[in-house]
Amino acid sequence: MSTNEHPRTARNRSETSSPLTPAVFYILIALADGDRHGYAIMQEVSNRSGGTVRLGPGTLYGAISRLLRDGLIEESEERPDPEMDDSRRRYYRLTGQGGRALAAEAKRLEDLARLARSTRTVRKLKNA
Amino acid sequence: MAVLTLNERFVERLYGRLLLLYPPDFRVRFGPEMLQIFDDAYALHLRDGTLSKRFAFWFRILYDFARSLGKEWGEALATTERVASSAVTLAESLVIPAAICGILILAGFTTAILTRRALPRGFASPVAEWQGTVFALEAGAVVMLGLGVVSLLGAYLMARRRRASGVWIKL
Repeated sequence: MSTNEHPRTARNRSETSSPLTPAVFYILIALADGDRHGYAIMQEVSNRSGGTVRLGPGTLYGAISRLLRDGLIEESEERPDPEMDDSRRRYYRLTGQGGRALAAEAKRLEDLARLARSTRTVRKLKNA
Repeated sequence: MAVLTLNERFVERLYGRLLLLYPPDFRVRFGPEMLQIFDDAYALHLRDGTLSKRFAFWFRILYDFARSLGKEWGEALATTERVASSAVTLAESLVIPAAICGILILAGFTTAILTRRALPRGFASPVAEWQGTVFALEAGAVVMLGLGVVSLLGAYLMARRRRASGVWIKL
């Protein structure tokens, strides 16, 4: 994981701490375990979400474009097997900033879930 | 890399033409990759085979296209410094799809007129069978152009809203 950071990201992130959209969150999760190309990200997101989140090429690359611009991911130079690989494929990896954004979002969702579980309504439904 | 059949090549070309509607910067940077993953996904769905799955695949692709087209143009137009140049590139982007659309419509009508004139009454020609396909292509082209125009209008409205709100990261 690289430590490259985009100055704009660091500034905006600390100023707004906006929640990530589900698709962006899933893309960061897909890249957390290693470098992947676009199609592998699509498949990983579909598998990890149990088929509920399916990214089309336009949505996926729109998100990748913004994640690259904001320094949360970067293009990877390494290719697993250049001989067997399609030259149009590009591989992406999480940056240090992206890893921190992922961890922060996971914590935010965890806190929200804990808050929801502490309510009487959710406890009652859970016990029923 | 897998060898593409004639049908797959046609479909790939069709999707390639759709990509021309994206903002030039986005298209140049991500177009080849998008085409590549479209090939992979299409090959996978062809193996599945059923008509309903193919329909669902195309629906997802076209929905994703229309949705992301608006967002990408919104993103391109939202950057204040680039508004003037985007207006030029927007017009440039529309030239090729509009030309393709025009050629398809012209070819469709020419085929229809020539077929009708050349054939005696009641004569069943194999050329006549292609009329349906030609008109389907024309209809497809018109729908695509319509989708493009609607998305661009959406993009313009989104750009105006986003410029005011300054959202950090959204899909």
